[in-house]
Amino acid sequence: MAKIDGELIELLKSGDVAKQDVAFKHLYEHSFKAIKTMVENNFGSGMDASDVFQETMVAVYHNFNKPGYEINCGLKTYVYAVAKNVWLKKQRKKKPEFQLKENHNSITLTESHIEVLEEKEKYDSIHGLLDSLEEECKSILVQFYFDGKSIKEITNKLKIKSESVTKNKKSRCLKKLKELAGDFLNIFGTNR
Amino acid sequence: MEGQDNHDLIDNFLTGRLTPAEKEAFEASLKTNEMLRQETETQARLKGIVVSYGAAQLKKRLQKIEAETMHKKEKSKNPFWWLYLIIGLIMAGLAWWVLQNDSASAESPDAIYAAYYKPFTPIGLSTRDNTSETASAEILNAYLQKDYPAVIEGINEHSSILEENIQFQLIHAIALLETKATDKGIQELEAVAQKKDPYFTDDAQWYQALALLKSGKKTEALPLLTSVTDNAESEYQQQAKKLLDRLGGKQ
Repeated sequence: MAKIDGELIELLKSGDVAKQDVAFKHLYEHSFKAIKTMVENNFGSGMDASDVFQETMVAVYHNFNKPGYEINCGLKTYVYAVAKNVWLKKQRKKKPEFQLKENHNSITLTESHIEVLEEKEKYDSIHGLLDSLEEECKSILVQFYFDGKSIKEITNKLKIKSESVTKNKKSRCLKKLKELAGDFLNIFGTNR
Repeated sequence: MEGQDNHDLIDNFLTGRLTPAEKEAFEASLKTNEMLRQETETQARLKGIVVSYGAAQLKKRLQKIEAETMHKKEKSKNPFWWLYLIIGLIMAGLAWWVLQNDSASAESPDAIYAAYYKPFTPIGLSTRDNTSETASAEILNAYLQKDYPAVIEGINEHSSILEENIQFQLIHAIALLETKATDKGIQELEAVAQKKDPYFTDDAQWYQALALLKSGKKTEALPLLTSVTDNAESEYQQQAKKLLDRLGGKQ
């Protein structure tokens, strides 16, 4: 993996929005074109390409922030492979036998690399419940479950008195979300 | 305390923070401990809601980044975009002008005919007396009334009238054109033109040219129009010049 790839991954894991945006911009500049071509060569439009790229970035970001997640190829190759899965998944919802045409030497990844998008879609209709929580609650939960940050990192970032206070806050916030979700929780099947 | 421990354990399981051994042990407990299984399912759903929210927020952020990055890229790719825009507008203007000129020459024959044709006005002919019973007067009256079938009928009945005055031949030809007998009208006009009458040759040529254009015979019409433009005495000279320019057929 190139040095620049390592640096970009570090930026994505930094927890600093400005640094993450630098990485995203770099990825747009260097990977978007290939993905757009792939989508457009496979019955997609420019709009589809944008959507695929954004979802790819969501998956890539989420994956790199999982504890111990590593890739054994170049970042560009990895991003392309994730994008391929995203587009395949979308197309196969409409046409299960859909096959991808491509003139690009690429690797193939398992669907587990885009699991986060499954979750996103599954709870899309009720994720707005989080907006009913206080900003701090929302921030703690998102940082812990989506950004993959540890209690220690969240404590430092939000300047909370101690880790145990953060932990208690997280539990209370989750309880509050559970109350808000109420019966919705029984409607949705488990994702594990 | 045990509850909090379970909560943390579930969280660590759901977020992939357990070691392989811990994960194995936890999965074994899930099979035997129904309460733990239910609690894990609930927490997994809550985690799903948070992840979905976080992903949607990040997607929004990415849309903004895409708009900024790609827009900037387009601009930086072409720092003289404004110059190209101006050139483009000029080119489009030129193309429009050329198209306009081309389309004039490609105008429909009927449109050209309608733009230039005006019925011939006889000169020096008078009904003298509108109540005259003479055939000539009746034909002339019919012509002035634009009753072209009556003109044709009158001339057919009194064909000698055509010899009386060349203008009757012109009137007859115009009546034929007006009644859609274009080919016959053209023949009649050609006959008039061949007489080389100093007054009516240009009239005959002008109407013949218009009739030919209407019939789609541009090549035959152009020499006649040229002849009219060469005739400084002709009242049709300027019109013929304009028409030739419009047709792009200066000869």
